[in-house]
Amino acid sequence: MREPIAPRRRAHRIRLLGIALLAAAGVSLAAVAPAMAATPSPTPTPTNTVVQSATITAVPQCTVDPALGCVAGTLNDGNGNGVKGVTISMSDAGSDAASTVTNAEGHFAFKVSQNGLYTLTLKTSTLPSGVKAAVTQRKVQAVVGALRAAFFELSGSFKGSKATTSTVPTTFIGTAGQLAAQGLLLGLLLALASIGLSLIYGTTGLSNFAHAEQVTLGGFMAYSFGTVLGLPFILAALAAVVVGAASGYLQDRFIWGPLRKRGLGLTQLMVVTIGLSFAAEYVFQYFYGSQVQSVSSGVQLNTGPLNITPAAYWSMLVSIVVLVLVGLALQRTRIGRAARAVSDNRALAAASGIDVDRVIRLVWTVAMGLAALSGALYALVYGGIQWSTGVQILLLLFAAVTLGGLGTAFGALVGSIVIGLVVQLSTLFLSNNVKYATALFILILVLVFRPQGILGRKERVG
Amino acid sequence: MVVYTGNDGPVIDAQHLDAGYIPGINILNDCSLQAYPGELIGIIGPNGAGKSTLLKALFGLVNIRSGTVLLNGEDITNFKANRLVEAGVGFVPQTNNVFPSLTIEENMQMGLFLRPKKLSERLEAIYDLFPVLAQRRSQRAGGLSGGERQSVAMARALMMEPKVLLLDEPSAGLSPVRQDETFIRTRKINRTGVTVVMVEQNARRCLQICDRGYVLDQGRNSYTGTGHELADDPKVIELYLGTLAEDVENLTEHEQPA
Amino acid sequence: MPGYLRPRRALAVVAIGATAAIALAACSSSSGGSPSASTTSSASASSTTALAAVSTCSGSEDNSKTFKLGTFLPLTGSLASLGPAAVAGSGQALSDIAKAGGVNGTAPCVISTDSSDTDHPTIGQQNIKKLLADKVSAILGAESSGVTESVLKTVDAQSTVMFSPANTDDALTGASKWYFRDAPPNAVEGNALGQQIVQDGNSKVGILVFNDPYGTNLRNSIQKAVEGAGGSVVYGAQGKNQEFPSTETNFTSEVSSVIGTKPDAIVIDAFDQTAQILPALASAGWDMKKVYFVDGNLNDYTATKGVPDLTGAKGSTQGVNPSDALKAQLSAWYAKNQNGGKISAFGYAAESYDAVVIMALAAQIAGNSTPAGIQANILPVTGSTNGTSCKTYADCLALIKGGNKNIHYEGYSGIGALNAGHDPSSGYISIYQYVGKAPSKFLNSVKG
Repeated sequence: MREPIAPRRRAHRIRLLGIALLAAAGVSLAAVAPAMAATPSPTPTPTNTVVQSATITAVPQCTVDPALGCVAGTLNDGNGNGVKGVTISMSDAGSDAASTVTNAEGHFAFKVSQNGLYTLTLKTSTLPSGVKAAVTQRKVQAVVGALRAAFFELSGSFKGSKATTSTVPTTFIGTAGQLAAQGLLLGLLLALASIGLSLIYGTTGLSNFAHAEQVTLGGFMAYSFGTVLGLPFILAALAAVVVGAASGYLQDRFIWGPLRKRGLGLTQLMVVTIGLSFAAEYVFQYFYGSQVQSVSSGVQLNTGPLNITPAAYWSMLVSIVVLVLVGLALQRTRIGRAARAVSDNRALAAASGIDVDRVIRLVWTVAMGLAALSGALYALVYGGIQWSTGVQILLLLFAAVTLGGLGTAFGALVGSIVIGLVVQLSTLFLSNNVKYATALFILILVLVFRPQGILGRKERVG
Repeated sequence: MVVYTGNDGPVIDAQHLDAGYIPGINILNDCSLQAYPGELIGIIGPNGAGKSTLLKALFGLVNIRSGTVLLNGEDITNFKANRLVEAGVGFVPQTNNVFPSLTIEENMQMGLFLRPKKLSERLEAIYDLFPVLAQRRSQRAGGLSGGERQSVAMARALMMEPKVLLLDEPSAGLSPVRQDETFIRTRKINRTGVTVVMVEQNARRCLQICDRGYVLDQGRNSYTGTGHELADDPKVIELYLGTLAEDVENLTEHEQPA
Repeated sequence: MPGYLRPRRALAVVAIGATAAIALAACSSSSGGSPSASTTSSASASSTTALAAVSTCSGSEDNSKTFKLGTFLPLTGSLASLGPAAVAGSGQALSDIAKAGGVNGTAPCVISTDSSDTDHPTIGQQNIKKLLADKVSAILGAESSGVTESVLKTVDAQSTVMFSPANTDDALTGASKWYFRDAPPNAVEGNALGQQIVQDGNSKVGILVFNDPYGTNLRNSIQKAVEGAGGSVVYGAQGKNQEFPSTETNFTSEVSSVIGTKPDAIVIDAFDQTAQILPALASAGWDMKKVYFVDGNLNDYTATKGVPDLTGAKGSTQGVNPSDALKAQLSAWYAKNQNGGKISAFGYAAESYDAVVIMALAAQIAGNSTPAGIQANILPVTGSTNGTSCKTYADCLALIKGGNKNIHYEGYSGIGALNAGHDPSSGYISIYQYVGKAPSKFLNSVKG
């Protein structure tokens, strides 16, 4: 009895959250169960009741078993549509032969009871008008117990054959345009996370290696609230931001604040963030397993001038609005200016009467909320979230922050967008395999010529 | 001299301070200082005498191990900076005394962080005192010259209308002309009724404008008196002002204070 | 950072979610099952036939007299979902062996350890050292090729048999005289899938392959099969440097690139990344009927909302799925001996069962259960000398006791005799087709 290959799904350890999901899955699988009972078994299938002494038999579909081999193929026209009614014959070295006519899908199959070299011939006259075969004869080494494919390449198309359309642009400009849009999207999502990273670096001097885990946290929260609890994505994303922000507040309240008070050095603190990052990854795996969890509600087609999904458009819009708000807050509000003041000169900020600890706590809260938003949107537009999603973009975040100018929020935005564009557009010329390496190479180049980053300022001394 | 009504005691009264950075090593040993309302106090002494440490101890930046600091009779020993600012103490560090990426006006706003409602009123008053800042209010402080930064730093500290202003070597790193300006401005600020305690490397010039001076040596008070008394005291001249005082004065131009 | 090192799950697999297992258990008992293997007549599917677990070795047993099996299976880590099937398969096998009279007249014993995954190499290293220190007769494991590769040197140095029920990495062929496996290597699967793709009328094939030995080795064999059958690989071909990094999380540019080459079909040769590739393919308007999966990602995506309907897509996987009768037996064994635990995935259960029986029979023929005795007799037991065929441990034991030492155990996994490289000379590759988001329609089981 054959069975469906079912999910390589780890036991869901989010017991409370998982119950609803499991129940739902149970219902859907129960529906599939009867179909499975009817699936064929691997032992010889009685497709042919007539006993044939011949080696070759034409069959509609061929199922391999230990005593029989299959030679089969499908005729597709230039549009990829099956060509029916074409006569294909197959013969062995001796006199044995059989012929068949392709079915509605263009499929033909023969089964053979002996190993050997067989010749397949396509009868050209049976091809529909408009369709041509480049080669009409093909030799196939058939093996008992195995399937061997026989391929005839056809060109042209028959009447009524529709070309399949895809939204993928085929011109260079079109491709470049789409990649630029994708780069902008990636850049904006990176910016949401990297601004927080930059603010934390600015106000505390800390390189937070656990920042990427906050992105992952956001994605998983969107999954928990959206997919598991069934909230609409917008609410789930909001909930993710709240949880993320709360985690930032609590972290500073119970970890970073006390450690700062004890005067722990930045290197030690950085090691703590690395430890935290490891711990968070294991916690994610414990609760969510190691596979990708999806937050989107369905499949969306690429559309519009940028040729991206509607969810991607919305994500870009939300990112832009949020980033503008953060920028305005930093420039225009008293507390935003205080955050910049703390970034500039923590001691002087304290001497001016600014409660530096309070500002830093606020920065942690906001930064983690933004990271969570980034994670939720990332999971939405890139098909899901996984325990390792965040850490995989960590290097890009640091690159963006460094590229833009350490500790400058606006620089982090610019750096992120540059990184996003470089990553995507580099694939126009280079292998996908090196797109991140390209981004990091650009980082090195920029730093060689502008060590303070794109927007970093050289300060006048004295 | 401006006299505060209803309070004849010192504004700042530091008694027998022991303080230091490294555990077990005191920079200040039994050091005391009083500043009466409206006074301009100068702290002078050789390098490493603990002048800046005394100032930082008053502002809670160095841990005081024994002794007390009173502000108008109230104990403010080891208060955190923002509470001291609230209580009326202003502090201008020697270096890094502005927010470079903030505009001048934003620097001023940060100075008044605890009383945001009085911003426009105070800005007006400060711009009266420092007209040059008013013209360049939207310029980033990071692009200013040393003298201008010193102005921004003082102006920022004055935003909260402090009762006491602590200045750490305001003339350091400035050209003689700018140094003069700084001293004149300090005196001017003092005349508005702010008690000023300043640490100065340029001892002779400092004593010229001070009401009273403290000479520190190895973390202890060694001489106290009015500016003129000290400037004329042969022992002080011999030990701390010296015959080379004029030369030292000229050298400060190139000196990068530690 | 661990995130940069993706687990090299050379087998990532076929599995069944907890709920699916329940549904299937119900299904199997009602459909009556088709007894493919002989004597496992536990058709009642009640737990009464479950045998007690074999006792844990005390450590003092002599490995020449007692068949001491050390299991080295993924109880934690990224492959933990496969653990129960192998634990139950090997446990059931030991129970059957004990019931039939043991090995050389002595009941076997077991030391169960965790192999974890390639992300946690220290767990595996420690446990292998423990098993070797306890002088086990043979080790069953690991499931992950990467884990096997990391400990094999240690095992080899101690001259102990290591028999994997699930390793598929081609690099393990002939890796050590002490190493055996009864899962077919990837090359076999690649060939079967390649033939299937061309058979479906696709001549230009794009392969989205990740930069990992699992992915690239499988890609190489798929490519060989496709090209051999007259097709061509237009994207992701060997040497084109179009593999994506295994840490990739955003596949928009890969999808644009592969569709840009206008392939007839796209093979996704990856692990978890697949759940993110599928939505990107769907967004780009790709026809899901023209997508092919490999064993590393032939999963049920029903619970993954962002994944499009996959009806018509096909994929291949190694090995056989156990018969319903065996599944019921294993489930009952597992529930009884693991505190009511459930097996959610049956991948490599049959291979685990067979591996244990093969080693026990080898020990029986040798007359002692030392590693050397077992090592020398594994190949003949799997059929390399065309011995007398027998289908259960009890039947084979009877033959041996009757004086016939040349036997051929034909177990549940349906493999051909192990060859000189200690790989199965043939094995089954199954091709499934998606209905909805689950690969539930069996198409073909191909011997490769």
